[in-house]
Amino acid sequence: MSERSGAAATALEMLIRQFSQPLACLRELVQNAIDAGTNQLEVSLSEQGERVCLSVRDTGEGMTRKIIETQLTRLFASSKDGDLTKVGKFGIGFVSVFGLHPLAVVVDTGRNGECWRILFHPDRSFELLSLPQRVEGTVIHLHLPKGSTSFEQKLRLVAHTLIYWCKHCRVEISLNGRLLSQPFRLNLPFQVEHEQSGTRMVLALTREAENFAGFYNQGLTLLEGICSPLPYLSFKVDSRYFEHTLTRDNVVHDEDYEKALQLIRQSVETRVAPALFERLRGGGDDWSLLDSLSQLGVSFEDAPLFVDLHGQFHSLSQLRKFQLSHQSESDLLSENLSPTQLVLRSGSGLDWLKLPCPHSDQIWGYCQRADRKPWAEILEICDQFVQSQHLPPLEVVHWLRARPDSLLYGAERLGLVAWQDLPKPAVLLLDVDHPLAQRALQLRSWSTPVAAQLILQHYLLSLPESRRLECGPKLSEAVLQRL
Amino acid sequence: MSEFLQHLRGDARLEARGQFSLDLEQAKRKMSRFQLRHPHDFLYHMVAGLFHLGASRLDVEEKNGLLCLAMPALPLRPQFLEDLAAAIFEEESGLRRLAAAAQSLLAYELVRFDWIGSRPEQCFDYLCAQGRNWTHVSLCEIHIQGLPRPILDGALEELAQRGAWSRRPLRVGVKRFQAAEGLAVRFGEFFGECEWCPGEKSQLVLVMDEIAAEKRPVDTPFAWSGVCYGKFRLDASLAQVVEDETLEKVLQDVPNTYLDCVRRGLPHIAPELTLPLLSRPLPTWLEPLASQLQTLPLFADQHRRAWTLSELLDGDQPVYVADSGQDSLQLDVSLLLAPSAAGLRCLEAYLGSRLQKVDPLLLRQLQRQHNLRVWQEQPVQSLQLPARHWLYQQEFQHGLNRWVVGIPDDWSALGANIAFWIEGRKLCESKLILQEFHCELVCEVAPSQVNELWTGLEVKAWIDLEAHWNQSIEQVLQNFAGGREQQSEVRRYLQSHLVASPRPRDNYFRKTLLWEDWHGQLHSLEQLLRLEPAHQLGVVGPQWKPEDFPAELIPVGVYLRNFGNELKLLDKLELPQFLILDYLLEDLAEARSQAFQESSLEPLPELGTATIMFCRAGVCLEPITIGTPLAFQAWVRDELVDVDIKLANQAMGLQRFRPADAASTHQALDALELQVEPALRKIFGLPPEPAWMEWLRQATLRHLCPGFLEDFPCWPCQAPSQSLASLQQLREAEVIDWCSSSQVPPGFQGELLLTGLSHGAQSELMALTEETRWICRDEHFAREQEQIEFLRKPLWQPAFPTVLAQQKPGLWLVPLGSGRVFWLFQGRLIEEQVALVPYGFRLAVECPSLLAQDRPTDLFARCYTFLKEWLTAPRAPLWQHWQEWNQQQLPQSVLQQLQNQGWFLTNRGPQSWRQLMDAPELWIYEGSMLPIQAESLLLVLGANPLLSAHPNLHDPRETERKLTSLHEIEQQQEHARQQGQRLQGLRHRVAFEQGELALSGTGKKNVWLLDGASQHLVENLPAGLVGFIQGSGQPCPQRNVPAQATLSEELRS
Repeated sequence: MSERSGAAATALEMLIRQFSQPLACLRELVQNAIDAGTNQLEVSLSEQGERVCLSVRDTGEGMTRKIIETQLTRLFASSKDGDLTKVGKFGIGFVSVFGLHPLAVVVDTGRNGECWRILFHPDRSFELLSLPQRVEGTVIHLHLPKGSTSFEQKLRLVAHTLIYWCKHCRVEISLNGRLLSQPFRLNLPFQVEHEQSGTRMVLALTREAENFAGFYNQGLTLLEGICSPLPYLSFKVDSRYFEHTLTRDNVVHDEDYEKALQLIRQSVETRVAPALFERLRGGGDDWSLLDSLSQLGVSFEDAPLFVDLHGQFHSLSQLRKFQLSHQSESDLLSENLSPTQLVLRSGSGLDWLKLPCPHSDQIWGYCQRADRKPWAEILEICDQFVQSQHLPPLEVVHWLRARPDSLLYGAERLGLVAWQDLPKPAVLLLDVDHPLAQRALQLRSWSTPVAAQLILQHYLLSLPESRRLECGPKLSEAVLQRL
Repeated sequence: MSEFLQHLRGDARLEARGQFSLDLEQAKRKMSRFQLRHPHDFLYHMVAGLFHLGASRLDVEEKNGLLCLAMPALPLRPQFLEDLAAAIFEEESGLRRLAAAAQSLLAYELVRFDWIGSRPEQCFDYLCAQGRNWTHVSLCEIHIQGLPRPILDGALEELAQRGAWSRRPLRVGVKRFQAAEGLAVRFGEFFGECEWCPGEKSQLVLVMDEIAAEKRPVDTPFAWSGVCYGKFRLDASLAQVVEDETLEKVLQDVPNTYLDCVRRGLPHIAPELTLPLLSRPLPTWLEPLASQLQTLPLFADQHRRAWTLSELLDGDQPVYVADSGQDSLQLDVSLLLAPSAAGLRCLEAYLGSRLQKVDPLLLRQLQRQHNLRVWQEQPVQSLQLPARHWLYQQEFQHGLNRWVVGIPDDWSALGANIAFWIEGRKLCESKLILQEFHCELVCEVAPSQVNELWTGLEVKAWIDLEAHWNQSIEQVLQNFAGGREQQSEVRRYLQSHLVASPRPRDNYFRKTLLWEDWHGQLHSLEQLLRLEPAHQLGVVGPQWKPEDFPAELIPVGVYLRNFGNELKLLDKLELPQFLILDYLLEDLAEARSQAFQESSLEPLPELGTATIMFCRAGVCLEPITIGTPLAFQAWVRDELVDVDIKLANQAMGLQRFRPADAASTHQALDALELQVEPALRKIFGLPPEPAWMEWLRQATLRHLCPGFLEDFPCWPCQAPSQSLASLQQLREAEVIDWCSSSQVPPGFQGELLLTGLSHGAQSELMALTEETRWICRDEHFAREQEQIEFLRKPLWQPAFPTVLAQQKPGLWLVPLGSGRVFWLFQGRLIEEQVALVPYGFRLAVECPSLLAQDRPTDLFARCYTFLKEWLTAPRAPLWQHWQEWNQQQLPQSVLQQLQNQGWFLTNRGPQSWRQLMDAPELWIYEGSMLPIQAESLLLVLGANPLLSAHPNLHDPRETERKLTSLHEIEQQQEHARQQGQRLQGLRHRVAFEQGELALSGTGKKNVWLLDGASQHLVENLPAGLVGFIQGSGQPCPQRNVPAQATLSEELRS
C-alpha cells in the first residue's frame, strides 16, 4: 500500500466514526440530497428478513462516473466548498454511513444518461456497476444487521434523529410516508419573521434574560439550545453563510456569524419593534415586552402607543408634557379639560406606564346646574346669610360622575372642578343628590329656615375654627329671626 | 454473504472495483480550520496530547499574551513535529488531539509557536516548520503568542474545567490539580472511581490522557457520579466520545459499582436520601446490604426518637404513622411522624397491614387509653387543698360534687386554679377566670362528668358547675373580708391586693379597716374616700411624729403611715389632690431653723422694693416684697399674723409658709413704713458712704429725693473747682457745661462743669432745672484728647530709595510705583493713600486739622504743574510713567511736553515721539547698537508700546529682513564696482543691462555672476571673456575650486 493510500485508509477509519452517534449519518445523506437539488426526500426503514434496510431516496441531479470516482469515493474532495448554495463542504459525510456497520451499502444514481450502482462491501471497498435501467436522482440503501433493538425502537430513533437535524429543511422530508418537516417558528405567542439575502429568521421578545436560540444552514440544524447571545430575545436563524465544524454540531463564530447577529439586532429595531407597537396599539397586552425591547437598546420613547379618548395615539415623550389621567370614554368632563391635560383611554398599558396617570375621577369632577325651583325658598335664606357674612354664593348642582363627600363644595366655578382645596372658593356647589340635601328638602315642608340652617351649618363645619365661631351664632340668630 | 451481495448486484454489469482515496492537502486545510468544535478547545487537546506522549507534569500559564506550557524533559523523535500534521487522521486519539490542536493554531496569525528543547537554543518554530539545534530533543516548553484574547481566556478556562481529574500534576495559572492514583473500580477494560453524590446529576466523566473528554449523563437509581480513565474513540471534532463497543462496555459496568458506592456512602448520607433505595423487593445488587439498610435510623416518632426499619419489623404490634402536627403527643404507643413519600412507601412495603395511618378517631382512642392509664396510676386521697399556707378556706357541696375553696397568701397569680378529682384520684387541673385575686379549688366529680379523652370535664358538666364555683368563691371572699379589722400580718396581703386591684373602690376589702394614720388610728378605704372637703388626705413617712410639730402649721386631715402600699393606693385612686406630708414636715424643719428673735428695720441704698420677713410660732415665713419708694429690709416677729400653707408635694422650703393677705399683715406693714424716714436722716446725718451718694443721685433723677436732701451736694463737678454740687445749686446756675467723661482736659473755663454725667441723667436733671441752659462738652473734649494723643507721634520723614526729582515742599518723582499721598498734621503722618496723584509721584500734604474734610483736593494739579516745569529741560525717558499717565488723562500741555522730549533713540540721533509719529515709516530695531549705514531707514531702538499708533510701523523681524536685503544690494554694487575696475583698459568692452563684458585675450574663463552678496565664476561661457553679469544662476558646488555657477540659457544668450 502506498503512503497515500495508507493515509486514506487511516482517514477513512477515523471518518467513519466522525460522529459520536452513528445515526447522524442520516443528516449527511439528507444534506447531500439537498445539495443535489432534490425537491423531496423519502426516508424509509424496512425489515427484510434478518436484515433491516434504511433507504434515502432523492430526486436530485444524481452522479456521473466521474463524480463517483472524484468526489463520492475521494475523501475531502468535495466541490461544494465555497459554494454558498450548498451546505456541505468537507466531502466526508457519506463515509459516515459505515459507522452503522452495514452489511452492504448500495447507491443507485443516474445523470446525463449514465446509470450507476455502487455496491460498498463491509470492508469499504466498492464495485461500480452499470445499470441497464434508468435511474432518477439517487437512492441509497443501507443494509443493516437486525441487532438487538426492536424495529419500533429503530424507527423512533431514526425519526428523532431526522427531526432534530432536519425539521426546518425547505425540502419535504418523510419517513415511511410520515412528513417530518416542521414550520420555522418559535413556540412563543408573539414572534416576527424576516428574510433577507439568504438569511431567514424568526424573532421573539421574551421576559427572561436567557433564551432559546437555533442556528441552521438551509434548514439543517447546526446548534440549538439555551444559548441566545442576545438577552430577552429568542430566535431561530437560518443562513447559508453559516460555517459549521467537522462534526457539524456548532456554528463557527466568524464574520458571517457576527453579520447574522447584527442583522438580528437590526431586525429587532426595524421589524420586531414596529410589530410589537402595532400589536400593542391593536389591544395586545404584552406591554412588559417593551422593557425587553429597551434592554436590547431599542427606544420606544417616540413610538405612539397610548391612545386618548379621541383615538389619537401618543408617545411616551409626548405624554411627559401633559398632566395625565384616564377614563374609559369621552364625556363632558374630558371635553372641558384644558389643553395641558390629556385623558387616556383606560386599558392594560396604563398599568405598565411609568408615569402618574390616575383615573380622572380622582382629580376632577364635573357638575351641571340643577333645577333651582324646589330650592328657591331655602336658597333665598342661604343667599342672604352668605352675603351678610361675605361667603361665596350657593348654586344647586348635579355631579356628573364622581362627587365630593360633602354636601357643599367650594369651587372656582360651575362645570369642571379640580379636587383641591381652594383658599377662597368663588361659589359653593350644593349637591342636590346628596342624602343631606334630600333631608333638607323634607325639612322644608316643616320649616324652611331650619332646612337652610342644616345646609349652612354643614358648610360652617368646614370653615376654620375662628371663622366658624364667628359665623355660628350669627347663623342661629338669622334663623331664629326667620322663625 | 456472497449470495446477498450477488443479489444486490442484480442485473448490473461490473465496470470497476475501487477503494476510498484521500485528497490530503484539502484534508489538512479543512481540518485545521474546522475540526475543533470550539476554537478554544486547542489547549486541552494539546495538554492531553502531551500527557499522552508521557509528560509527567504540566504547568500552563499565560503572561502578557504569551501562553507557556512547561513540563519536565520529554524525549521526542527529531522528526516528530515535522510528521505531526499527518497524525490528524491517526486512529489513536491521543496523538490526534495534539496534532489537531497544533494544526488549529495555524489558522491564527500567531507571532510565535515555539517548541523549546532542554538544550541551549534548541527550538522548533512550528509556524515555519524549522528547527534550530533540533536533534536529540527533550521537549521542555511550548510557547504560543499572538492568540486573540477571548480565545486565550476561553482556552484556559476550559482546561481548568477539564483538567480537574488529572492524576498527573497539572497547574493552570494558580489552580493546581492532581487526582488520587490507585483506582480500584473497573469500567470495562478501564479503571475509575465513583461515589454517591446526593444533589448532583448522575454522570460519568470520561477522562482520556488525564483530561476529561466528555461528561456523559447516565441513568442510575441514585445520584451516582463516576469518573473513568480510559482510551476512547473521539468523534471528528474530538469533542465527544463515539458510542462504540468500548463505551458500551464501560457503561455496562456502571451498575456493578452501585453496591460499593452505597456501602461507602451510607455512613455519610442523610437517611432521607437513603429511603428511595429501600424499595421492596430490593434490587438484586442491593441485597447484600439489606441487613445494614434495616439498621439505619430512618424514622422518628412524636418524641423525636429515631427508629430503624429493623426495630419496626420486630414484633407484631401495629405501627402508627401520622402527619406532622402531633409533636410531643403523650400516648402509650410510638407515632411515626411525617415520613416522606419515599419513607411511607418503604413502611408500606415492609410492614404491610401492621402499618396504621392515624386518623383523628384513632388518635382520640389512643389518647383516652393513655390518659386513663395515667389517672389510674395516681394514689387515692381524700379531697383537700394542697399543703401550703391558706388565709381562709371553706367547703361546699352541690349534688354529686363537693369542693373546697381556699385563699392562699400569695396572690401573684390571678385567677382560680381548679383541680378535679375522681374517686380520690386527681384527674387534671384547669383555671377559672377571676379578676384581682387568686384562689384554689379542689373539686370531686363523677366519672359520668368526665369527657371522652379523660382529660377534663365535659362541657355540659363544666357549665353546670361553673356558676356554683363562682358563687362559692364570692361567698368565701365576703366571709373573709367581712368589713372587720384584719390582723396586721393579713393586712399587708389585703393592702397589696387592694393596690393591685384594677378598681379598688369596688373591691371586697373597701370596707375593711386596713389603713393606719400617723396617730395610729385605722381607716377603711371607704372612710378615706368620704373625708370632709376641708380635711386633707395624705401619707407620711414612719419616721415622723405628730407631736414634734406645731399643730397649727399642719393642715387638718388624715395622714396614713406610708409603708409603700398607702402611696400606691392614693396614686391609683386618682384623687384630685393628696398630700405627701413628708415634704411639708421637711420644709417646716427648715423654716424653724431660720427663725429670729428680735424685730428690726434697715434702710437700703436702693429704690422701689422692701423685703419683710415674719416669724410666727418659732417658724420663719416666706419673705414678702412690697413696692416702696425707699428700699429697706425688715424682720418682724408677730404671733398674730395669719399664715397661708401651700400644699404641694415637693420641697418648697420657706415658700410653703407665707403671710396671708389679711388685715393682720397689712397692719404690721403700715407700722413699718413710719420707721423709714428717721432711719434715713440718721444715715445722711453723718458723711454717707459712696453707695448712699449714688442712691441720692438716682433718687433725684427719679423724683424720689426726699425734700430734706435737696441741698445735699452729690453731683461731681470740675469747674469752678473739683467738688460736688447739690440739686439746689444746679437750679440756681444760669449755664451748666457737662460731659459724660469723668476726666476732662485741664484749662476749661466756665460757670459750672458737671462731669461723669450720662445723657439720660442729664436730660432728667435738665427737667428738674427748667431755668438753666445746659451745654454738652463731650465732642469738644474728645477732639482735644485725640489731638493730644496724635501729637505724641514722631515727626514724619520721607524715605524713598530713589528719587528722580524733588520739589519743595513735599513733592517727589520716583522711578517706580503708583502715586502716593502722605497726609500730615503738624509734621506727623495721619495716613497714606494710593492713587490720589499721578504714577511715580510722592506728595506730602500738611493738613489744617486731623479731619478728612479739611484736606486739600488739588493734588493732581500740583503734580502736573511740577511735571510741566520739569519737562522743559531734556530728561531721561520715563516710559512706564508715560504709559500710566496716559490712562489718567494727562493734561494736554504736559502731554505735549512729553511728546516733544527726544526720548527715542534712533539711527538719526534721539528723536521725540512727535518726530517719530511724523515720519512716513518706522523700523523697530532690536539689538544693542543701531547700525548707522542704513540711512535710508528710520530705525528706532527697541519696541515701545507708545509707538504702536504709528501707521507704518515695522517689527524687528521685518527690520532685520530689510537690513539684510539692503546689505546684499550694497555688496552687489561693491562687487560690480570692483569688477568694472577690472575691465578698465580692455578693448571690446560691452556694457549691457545686466553687466559688462570684454575680451581678455587670455585662455581663462573670467566672467563672474553677481548673485546677491555672493559671486560665482560662470562656467558655461567661453574662455577669453572677462566681466560680470548681475542675475541668478545655478551654482555648481565643487570641492577645492572657487565657487562656480551656470548661467541660464536666457541670460547666456
